Amino acid sequence: MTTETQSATPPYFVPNPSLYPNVINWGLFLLALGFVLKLNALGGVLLMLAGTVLLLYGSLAWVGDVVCENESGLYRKWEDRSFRVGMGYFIGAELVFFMAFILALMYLRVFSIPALGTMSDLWPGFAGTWPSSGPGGKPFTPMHAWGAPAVNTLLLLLSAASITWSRTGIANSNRGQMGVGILITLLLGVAFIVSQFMEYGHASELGVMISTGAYGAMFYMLTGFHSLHLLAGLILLAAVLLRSFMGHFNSEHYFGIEAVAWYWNFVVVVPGLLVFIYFYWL
Amino acid sequence: MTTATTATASHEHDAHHGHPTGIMRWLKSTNHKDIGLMYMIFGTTMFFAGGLLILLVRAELFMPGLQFLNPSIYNQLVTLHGLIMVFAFIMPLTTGFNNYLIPMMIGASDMALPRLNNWGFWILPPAAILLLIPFFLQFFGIGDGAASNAWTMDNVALDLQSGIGMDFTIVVVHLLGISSITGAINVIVTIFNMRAPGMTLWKMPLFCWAWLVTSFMLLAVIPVLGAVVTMLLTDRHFGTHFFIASGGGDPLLFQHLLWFFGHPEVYIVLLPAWGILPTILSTFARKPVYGYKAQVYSFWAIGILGSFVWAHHMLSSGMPLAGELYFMYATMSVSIPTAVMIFCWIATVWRGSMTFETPMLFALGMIVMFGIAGLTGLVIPDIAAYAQYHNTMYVVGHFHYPFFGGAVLGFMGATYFYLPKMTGHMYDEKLGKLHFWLTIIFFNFTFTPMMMVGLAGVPRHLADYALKYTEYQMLSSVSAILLGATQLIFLYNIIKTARGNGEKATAQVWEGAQGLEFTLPSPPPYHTFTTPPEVK
Repeated sequence: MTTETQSATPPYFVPNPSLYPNVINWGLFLLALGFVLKLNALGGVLLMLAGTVLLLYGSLAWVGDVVCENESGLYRKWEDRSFRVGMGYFIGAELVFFMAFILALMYLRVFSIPALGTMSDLWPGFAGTWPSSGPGGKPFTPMHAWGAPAVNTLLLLLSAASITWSRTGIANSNRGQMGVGILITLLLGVAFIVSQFMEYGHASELGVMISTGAYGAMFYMLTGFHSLHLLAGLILLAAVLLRSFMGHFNSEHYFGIEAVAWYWNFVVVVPGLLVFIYFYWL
Repeated sequence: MTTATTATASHEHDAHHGHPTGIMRWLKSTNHKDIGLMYMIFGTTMFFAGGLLILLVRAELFMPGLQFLNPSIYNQLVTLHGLIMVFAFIMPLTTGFNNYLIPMMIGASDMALPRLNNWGFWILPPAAILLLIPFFLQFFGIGDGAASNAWTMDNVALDLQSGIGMDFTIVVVHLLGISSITGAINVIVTIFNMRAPGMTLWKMPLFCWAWLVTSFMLLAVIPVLGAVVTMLLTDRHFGTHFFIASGGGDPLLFQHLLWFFGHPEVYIVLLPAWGILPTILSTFARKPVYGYKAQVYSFWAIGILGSFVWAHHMLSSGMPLAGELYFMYATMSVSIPTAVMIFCWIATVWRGSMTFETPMLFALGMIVMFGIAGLTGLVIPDIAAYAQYHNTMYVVGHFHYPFFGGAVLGFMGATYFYLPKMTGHMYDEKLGKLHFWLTIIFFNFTFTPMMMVGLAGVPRHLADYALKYTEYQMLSSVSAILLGATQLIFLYNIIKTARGNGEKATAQVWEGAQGLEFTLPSPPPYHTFTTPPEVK
């Protein structure tokens, strides 16, 4: 790209043709096909493996391209704004995904289980109060909010603060603050994941399994998707940490960190806090 | 406007930057026009595939009794037809138009996130293959065929019991969800960030507004669809109890979440057609669009109101009276902004110097058909009357009026309208008019009899019916097959034009055409507006 001095507004950078989206898509195809075959006991493990390899290769190569383009100065203010707006709406879509689960939890607590409690001829002796594994469900002891879940939530809130601190650092050209902030966030995130897995062990001791009716389903799906998103966030954090070691980012260009910070704050606040308040606590 | 010079400048620009040729041009494309064309070609292909499937169904319904489809295959075909037409035909087709047109309409060099755009398109072919695999597997003795409980995946008991086809449908929905979300994000970012200087939001063509609202709706409902099919998957294979009463779950929860996606989906399909219609009408009436702002506000009103009316699809599932009343009134209220829009369309052509080229015929036809769609739909959420309509062929007849009579006719009009722009050649006007008249006649004779037998009591999703309905069903079947055959004229006309037959189209194409896309040569060069035009 030569300098565009002839026009006041710089032209927008349209990336070169790329095969990586297709690599990802056919990886997803094999992964999905293998997954369905596996579920129905028709083999499929090899397909899943091949799909995962393609998916990983495609994603890494794609991200690599984006980073290279970024470092060679092809992205300026205009492109940067596209990424920011796009990331914002992506998080919006994630928000809706989690809200679907939270609203499903509300539906079960407010409508479904109380209604089952009124059907005394169908389900005699079922009280219809939350927490419940349903009229035909296995017995269990509900999780205690003010133990590990509270500590975990605190860890997450601290990590949200540290990633925000890191983002402020790079915005003020303080590279040290940026690196330390990412590192702290990463460690807090790992601590959360470890603690969460110990919590799963604890839950199964209390009789809360994925098949333990509405309670078990909600517990494992909410915390499971939350943890999966946090794991994805940890990978992103590791990536920006690596990039910061390589000397990337400056006070003008730090979309990578900003995107991870937004994403992390979202994953912490929306599913993290909501699950703590509405599932564990109330 | 200075766009003519810009276009020539960008044409020279092409020479410096080669793009891959052959198949790699398409596989690796980051060009909005190429990706848009691929979306349209994919959508059209699936239109014929989905149409072929339903013609088998109509052939079965030609006579009472079971002739050559067993009930399971029958319902699989109905389900595949629905899924293909909604997810693999109309949505990709409208997305193709947004890809091709929006950057040219707002003076952008491309979509804002071109590689994401490529991802969004190329996830469709794998998804379509996955959708069809189980149907063919059953003939090799593997599994029990495709999902057979309609595109809404209705009836949870069946979902939990049905076989491998449902699993394929679930992963396909996830893949298509990726496509919809990346597409929606791309449209929003493009519209908010890529407009040429001077192209304010209130100067955008209505098509851009319609797609902006559509994109917001996609972001608001597609993740819910992803969540609900995930719950279904874990209920089926991992032992959860979201929809199973013995564990405290509720089958109705599935329907609520599904229809929270499903009803807005109707507007997701229709809004792009409503957006393109005023442009066609004003071009051939040689008058500006009437009530531009009123139509924009109507889009938003329909988008917002339409997201909170979902349970009128579930009235016969049982619901407290307060819920029924709310959903009835809320549903009826959507007809207010819709009526505003229809009056704006009529006012746009009112006393205009109209000519009746094929796109105009389709646009006017769509107003009438969409009017029938609205009026036949008003009775369905009526809680005093719904019991007669729900789960009957009346519903099937009714919803094909908005889908085919609204979205498909609208986009057939749009295809004729933009075909000269895209190919540089005029299509065959005589064949176009023949296509329109045959389509509108056979369309009505296909779906009106369905409403009549439905009112008389024929249920949906049944391969057989009582002897006394034979005449209507025969009429419907014969018309459906002729309707399908008529579309071959459409295909022939498109291919003929794309191969360069027909007179050369000018840059403006139509005498009354307005807008930035009509300042570019026909066909537009590979890259357009690499330097943004000034819009006054």
